[in-house]
Amino acid sequence: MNNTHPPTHYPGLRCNLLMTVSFHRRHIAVSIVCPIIPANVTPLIKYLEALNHTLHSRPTLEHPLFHKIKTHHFCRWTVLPASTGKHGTYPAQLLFESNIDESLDQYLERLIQQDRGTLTAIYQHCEGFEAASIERYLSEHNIAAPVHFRGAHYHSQQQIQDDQALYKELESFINEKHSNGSLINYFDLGLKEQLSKTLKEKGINWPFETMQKQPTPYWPRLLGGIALLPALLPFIALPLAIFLGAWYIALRKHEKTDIPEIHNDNMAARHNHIRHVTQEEQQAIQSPMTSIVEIKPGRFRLLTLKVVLWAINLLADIFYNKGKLGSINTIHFARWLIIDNNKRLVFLSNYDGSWENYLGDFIDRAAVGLTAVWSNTEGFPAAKHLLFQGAKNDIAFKAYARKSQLKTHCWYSAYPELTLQNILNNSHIRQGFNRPMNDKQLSKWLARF
Amino acid sequence: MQPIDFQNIQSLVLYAYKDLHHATYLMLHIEHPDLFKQWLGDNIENITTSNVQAESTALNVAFTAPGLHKLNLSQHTYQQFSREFKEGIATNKRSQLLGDEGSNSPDNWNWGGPSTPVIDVVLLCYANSESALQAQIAQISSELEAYTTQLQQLDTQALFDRKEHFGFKDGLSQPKIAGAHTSAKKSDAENNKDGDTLAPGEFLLGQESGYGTITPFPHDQNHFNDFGKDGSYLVFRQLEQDVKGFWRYLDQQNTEEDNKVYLATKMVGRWPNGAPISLFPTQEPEHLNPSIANDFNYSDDPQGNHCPMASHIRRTNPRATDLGLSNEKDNIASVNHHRIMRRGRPYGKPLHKRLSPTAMMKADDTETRGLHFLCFNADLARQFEFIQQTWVNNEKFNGLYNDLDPLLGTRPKEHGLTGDDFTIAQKPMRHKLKNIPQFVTTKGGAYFFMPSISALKQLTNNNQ
Repeated sequence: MNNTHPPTHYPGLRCNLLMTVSFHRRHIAVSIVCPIIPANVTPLIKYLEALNHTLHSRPTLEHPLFHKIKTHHFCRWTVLPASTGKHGTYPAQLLFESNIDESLDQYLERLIQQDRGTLTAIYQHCEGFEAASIERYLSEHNIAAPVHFRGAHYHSQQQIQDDQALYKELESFINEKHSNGSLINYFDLGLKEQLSKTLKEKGINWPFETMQKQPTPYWPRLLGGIALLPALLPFIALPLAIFLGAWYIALRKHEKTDIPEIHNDNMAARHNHIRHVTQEEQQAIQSPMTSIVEIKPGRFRLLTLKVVLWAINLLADIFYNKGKLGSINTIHFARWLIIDNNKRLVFLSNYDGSWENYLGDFIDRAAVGLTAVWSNTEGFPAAKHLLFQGAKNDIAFKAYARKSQLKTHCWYSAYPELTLQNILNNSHIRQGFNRPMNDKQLSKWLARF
Repeated sequence: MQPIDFQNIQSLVLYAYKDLHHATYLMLHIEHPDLFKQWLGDNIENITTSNVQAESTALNVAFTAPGLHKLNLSQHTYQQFSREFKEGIATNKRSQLLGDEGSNSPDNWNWGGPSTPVIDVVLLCYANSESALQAQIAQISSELEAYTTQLQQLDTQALFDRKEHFGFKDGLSQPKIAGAHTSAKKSDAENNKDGDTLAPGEFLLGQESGYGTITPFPHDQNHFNDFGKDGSYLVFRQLEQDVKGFWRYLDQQNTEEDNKVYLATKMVGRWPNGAPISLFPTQEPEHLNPSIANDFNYSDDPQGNHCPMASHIRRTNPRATDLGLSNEKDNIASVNHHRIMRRGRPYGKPLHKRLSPTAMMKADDTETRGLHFLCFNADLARQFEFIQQTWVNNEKFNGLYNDLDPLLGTRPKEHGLTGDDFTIAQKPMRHKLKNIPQFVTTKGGAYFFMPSISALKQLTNNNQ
């Protein structure tokens, strides 16, 4: 069947120092936003949808711009259509999202080298684009992502693919021994030793030579902060208290006067919108989500939003860096972007499983964080003290999420058949070969197959 | 929480009619809406409500979206029904989510598919004897003959010891509705000791749900008629079971008779007599004490060494299984947003009268058999569809790699992973069944809405 990955060769050059370093690179968020020439919007959407169809309808295809690039994980090109909101009129824009293992410059160079043709075909629809200076154009339109959440920290695409190939190799060995009844013979010899021996006999040595870089621990920073605090406190306590007090009073005033949207009007139009945006959703194990909302007007909301995003990014970096955002374990990559002169907030996510599960997790497991972000935007259910209610209002929150969702026109995953749980499990299996274990750890490790 | 209005609720939503062993479902197409409405108006007294104990017969009625449309429900009210209900169960997108692909495709359905006539109404008839049922059906059919076309008469067959066709005791786990199935004398905490008592809004529209919000219900512009309140969505699927195929597959997996039943038990999560494998990991007890049939929640079995993660009962109701949340209470609360009230009954002759596995491995016939799967829920997307999409038809359920539901999985899938593994966790290392064929095929399906009695009265009175 087509579930087997192309045979990954296990190159001896994996011990190459340079390679090892590049595997441990921190993932970088690429977010390129370009205005589209109005007359070109429809042709561009058509082009992207056709490209998407090609990517997903031909499993054996190796597209130069997608499959041939071994340094990106998930990417999407999608059109943010022209629209008029409560606080402004927004032009149609093309959004490119990618999650990569190298620097932006290296990546852009690689894309151009691989498939300048397709890139030009896409970007010729955009304002100010000149084919001759494609790299500069893309790089100039890249914007920073205030929040970039990564599920599998310091796992390059190549590492994830190799780990899966390793899992498959071991799986078929275990299955074979099971079906001929000989697995029982290995118990005494030690199963782990046997698995190691099998790999080495096949010349698969790289798992033993790969050191996994662990996510940044938070204790040093936290301890540093705690140590610094008493020293600084006498100087900042009063101004900080005054500032926070004023901020809180302003917040409650905003929260009491904001008028939340009523989500049960015009159900026919709402249902049509959902039908449209869900057409391509959940074709497989992973799905993209693209959503866009207007930020509430005024400096207060913008500032609050920016501080919240900064705090969430910090938490994602130093605390939620082992595959779970709170207790959500299905997000490969997610980010928020602020676009249109601080007027709109974009949310992009690459997640496992169903939309209902994803949104249910938002409500059960991440309502506080999401409310802190989205309560600063239009249409979100009423929040209290920035963190409470809001997303806990399941009906209104799901209606808000669906309404703000856009169709993702072209989306690619480098490993469409792996959930984040699979990726982390494979990685633990690989790391286990390099680690001495006591009986309890060994039993847990053996349960991973 | 508002009290349950028992006399306004059709009884099947709250009760299963366990003493009425005979049942038939009539699928109708309405030819003359006005005359049908008149019949319904004249027969409202005969619709069984949940304030009475049905002794000899019971009758309930539910409508599809086209059916409600035909009976002139106002546009405003109609539009507020959920998207899933209005679109129906057989759209391309929904088929993909639910696993109604390949041989399960609505194109091949006996009813409810794109190439079969539109179903407007289902009448659900129950009786305590075959003759009483036949009399009931004969009367209804003769009365309705002139205004409706009867598209399907789906009969049911009670099997030995309340089992389903594969030979396993069915219907053992069912959520309880606060205020309906709980005792007013006990405290909330006492009533919900097992975490199995749910808010009424999980099953009844217009009531408070598990989130503490009111489940949306269709109503007119001024809330003059709260049409949807106290109604419930009814999912109806005809699931054909390949009983012979199921036991033949197991027969090939092992030479020991006991081990074949053991493997099947691992797939189901319960022994044939209903004893949970979580409590009886090695052997079927001679008798199952019904009071302990649900005395487990997997919290002591995180890796599935007793009840495999991929097994049918674990993935359709994971109870306290760690789905990412760290504490037991949160896990249960999160899972409880996705429960259904099952009302299914088997149909067709059993492959063996007493459903003995040994006998079924050798038995042979050409009969068709299966389950008329019925369930109630207040939010199709969050409950029935969620279970089917996120847990059953998902080879990646909670960290698995390639394991669809061993009983319900659609295999092989048309694209993507094959989904035909079944992983049995054990010490020191798991066992894996491979190449599991498909055992259950969808043969029909529809989404219905079962209105309250007051909604039925509104429906029969409006003649716009």
